[in-house]
Amino acid sequence: MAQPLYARHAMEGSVSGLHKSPHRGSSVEFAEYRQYVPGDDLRRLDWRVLARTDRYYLKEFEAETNLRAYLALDLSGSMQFSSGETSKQAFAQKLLATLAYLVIRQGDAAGLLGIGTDTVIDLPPRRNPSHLQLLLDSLPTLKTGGQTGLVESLHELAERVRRRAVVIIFSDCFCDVANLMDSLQHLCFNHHDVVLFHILDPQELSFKFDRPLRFVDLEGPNSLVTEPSVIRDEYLKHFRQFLDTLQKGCREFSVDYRRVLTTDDYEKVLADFLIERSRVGSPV
Amino acid sequence: MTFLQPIILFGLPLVLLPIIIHLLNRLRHRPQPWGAMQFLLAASRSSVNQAKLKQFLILLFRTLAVLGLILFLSRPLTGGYLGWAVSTAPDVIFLLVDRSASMEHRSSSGVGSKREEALKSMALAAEGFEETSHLILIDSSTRSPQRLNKAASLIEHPLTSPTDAAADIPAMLQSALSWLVENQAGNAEIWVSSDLQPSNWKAEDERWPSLVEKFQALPQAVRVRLIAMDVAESQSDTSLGIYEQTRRFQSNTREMLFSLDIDRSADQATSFPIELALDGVSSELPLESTGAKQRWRHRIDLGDQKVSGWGSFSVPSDANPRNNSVYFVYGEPGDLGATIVATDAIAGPILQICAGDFQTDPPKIATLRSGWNADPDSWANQTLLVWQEGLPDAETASALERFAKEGGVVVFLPPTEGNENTFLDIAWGEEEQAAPDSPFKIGRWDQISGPLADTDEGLSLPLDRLDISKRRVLTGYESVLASYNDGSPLLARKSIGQGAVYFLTTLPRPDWSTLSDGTILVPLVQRLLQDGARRQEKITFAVSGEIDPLVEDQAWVPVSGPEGSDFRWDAGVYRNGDRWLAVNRAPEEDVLGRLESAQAKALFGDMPLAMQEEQSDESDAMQGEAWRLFLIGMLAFLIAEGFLILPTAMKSVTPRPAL
Repeated sequence: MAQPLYARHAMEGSVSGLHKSPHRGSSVEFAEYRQYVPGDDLRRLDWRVLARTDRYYLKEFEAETNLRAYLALDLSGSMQFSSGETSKQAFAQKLLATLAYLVIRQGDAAGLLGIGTDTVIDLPPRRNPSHLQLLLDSLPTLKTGGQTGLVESLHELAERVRRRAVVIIFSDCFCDVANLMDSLQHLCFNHHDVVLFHILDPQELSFKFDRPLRFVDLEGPNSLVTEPSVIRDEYLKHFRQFLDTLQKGCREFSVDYRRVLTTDDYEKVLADFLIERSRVGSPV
Repeated sequence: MTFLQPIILFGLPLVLLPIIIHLLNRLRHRPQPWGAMQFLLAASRSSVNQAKLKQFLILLFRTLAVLGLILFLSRPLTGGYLGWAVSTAPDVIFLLVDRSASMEHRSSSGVGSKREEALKSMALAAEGFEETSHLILIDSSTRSPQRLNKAASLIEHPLTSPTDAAADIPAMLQSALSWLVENQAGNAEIWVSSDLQPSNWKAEDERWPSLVEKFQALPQAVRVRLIAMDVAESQSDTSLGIYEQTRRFQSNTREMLFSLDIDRSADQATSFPIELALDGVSSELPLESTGAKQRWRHRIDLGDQKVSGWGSFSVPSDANPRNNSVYFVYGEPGDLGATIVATDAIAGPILQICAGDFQTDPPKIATLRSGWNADPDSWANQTLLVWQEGLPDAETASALERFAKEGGVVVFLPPTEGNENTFLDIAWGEEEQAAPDSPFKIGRWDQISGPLADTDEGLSLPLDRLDISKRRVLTGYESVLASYNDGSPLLARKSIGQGAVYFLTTLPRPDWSTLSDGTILVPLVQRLLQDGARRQEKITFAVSGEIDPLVEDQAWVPVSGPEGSDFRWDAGVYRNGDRWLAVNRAPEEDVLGRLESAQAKALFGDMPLAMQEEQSDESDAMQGEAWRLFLIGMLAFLIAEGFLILPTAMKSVTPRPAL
């Protein structure tokens, strides 16, 4: 997979890279001429213009910086559900690992945020290959369980990370949608590029069962004995409402929403994601 | 409700099986880990009422299906009221079996007769009560209660075989009532199998209210179960009955004239043979039937050799073989003799002349009296009594009745002075005088049979030329042989025993009528004189079930009729030495008709009654109604349950990943 990951917005990094920076700097990419104002660095004056026109102009260049990607993985109990061979957690980890590899390989920094009931792991973004190894090694050790603390963790992330970054979230979003949207809005408000991989199991969408079952809650002690055929319509109605609300909210806050099924081909999922990114956020 | 297989009721706890399975299943539901629990809980909350109702209905239907199965297998018997549903077996069950001739009509199933179907039904139903109840058989002929040990014996019991006698349902119930009172039995059920023939049920009989009142006054509970048998309307039936049998003595020959009533269920014209068996020799007589009812006349020439014998008429077998034959006997004619009791000085001698026996040489003149001679010897050899004075008092009436029952003929003519007496409920009324120029004329008369019938040559008696100036009103009459234009009777008849009683409403006096001309009066009186000759013959005609005690005491041997015939109940010809007895079916058994169900129920007043209309082709329909009900119920519950557990159509989920 040679397609690099681009950010949709300008990024703030400490080193030069593929991505636009909000700052003008000493890059090779010419940006514009700007009239000198007191306080500007005299070294940036364009002497040629001064010589020809006797006016003080600064020649500005687009700065290029590196990308800092926070990969947030939901580790709540519901992520371990699987109706087939792959659980939502496994699928998410596969996506996450691939993206982390891509990011670090293209010289950007990638960090890992494992979110269970609380934040269980927090690896700050680094660029060096040893960090990638550390990140990949820590993934298999992550255990799911309990309710999700995704909302609180994202708020905390938004507060903590001052510099612009790409926040990629892998979650089934089985939490209060309004609160989740608040946290996503918080991230966007702080100029982060937010991507939400909404990972679902096909059975959660279809709710096809042929016999009465005892449904055991993966995030708590609840259980429910019911005849699926009786409540299927109501379940689907509520589920569709949830999906519509989430999708609508993401669109409103410019969150890159991507619904993914565990039966999908993850390579295709990533390829589609990266290609689309390259169109929208290709480096200037 | 009672059951033929009560032991199966021990399986009733099995109705809890679906509930137990349901509870076990709840424990044994396969656990399904689920992440999207918040939507499941929300959906469950929304659907909880509907789901619970559905679950409850499924469970209810399963339970009821098992209950229906158990009740079906336990073979419940039908009960009329809800209260019967919880009642125990009665102490006594009376099985009232209608053995009348009409019960031999093929049942609607066409398999057996109505009596046979009813017996099977009752026997099957009574099987379940053999151990718990006393089974008492009361048949319509003897009406004598008989204890049965086995219900199955009902079918082959001698007292349930077919008869030609009529049934008297009130009398059968009275017999049951008497048995109950005498034996101080416990709760009782009366099972009546009958075809609801009105003549058997006697709905207008005064005994009904009294019977119901007495049953209700009993300390024990008495319930009635009525098995009303019916016939299919498509089955054809023809019945034969002798309306009149007359001996005629011509100069050298003896002959018998018969008037047969032929009733058919179909009214279209057809032809069929009538088999005549005379002294064992059969011959076929063609008959062109013109309609549903027909009176057919036939003459049998006995020649001058035969003095006594027997015979029968039969039609081909049909839906009711019991009403296809009639029997007759004839005997050595005795001397003819008539006595005229008349107070009228003109009519008396005229009647005396007309009533002479002209077969003898010299002719035998009739006796004319002005008053009744109570000495039996005075009318011992008489065949005709003509009574022209006020109706006799009770003692004399009794003697006259006996005379008629023995085969004699009594003719009453209007008295010049009436009285309050009645004879066989018939009484004289006021005299009526016709207008001077407008005498009473005869409108119609029976030209086929009776003493006014046409002659053998086909000539009619000139009743249409008869002028009647004066007549006396008659009340209480039944059968009219000739009537005036206004419908009032000129000649009425009432059969009694072997003979008959006639009432002529005018007198052979010039100031009353032109009867004294003789063209009508002579043949009329002569025919009646010969009809009365039966009193001198050694033959007896009887109706099945109504045999005179004097006759019943004699030892009669069957000559013709069904094998093993009993002269008390079976039609046929019987012989005792030189005396003959012809027993025929009770005439009312040929009268088709059926009481309405509501009428039959009303007869029992407030007594608990369950009525079963036997119209199906099931031989054990008495139970069948009950088990079929539960079988159908069980199937209905299973279908309803199956419908409820059908999985709802899976709807495809449309959301797809939006990449």
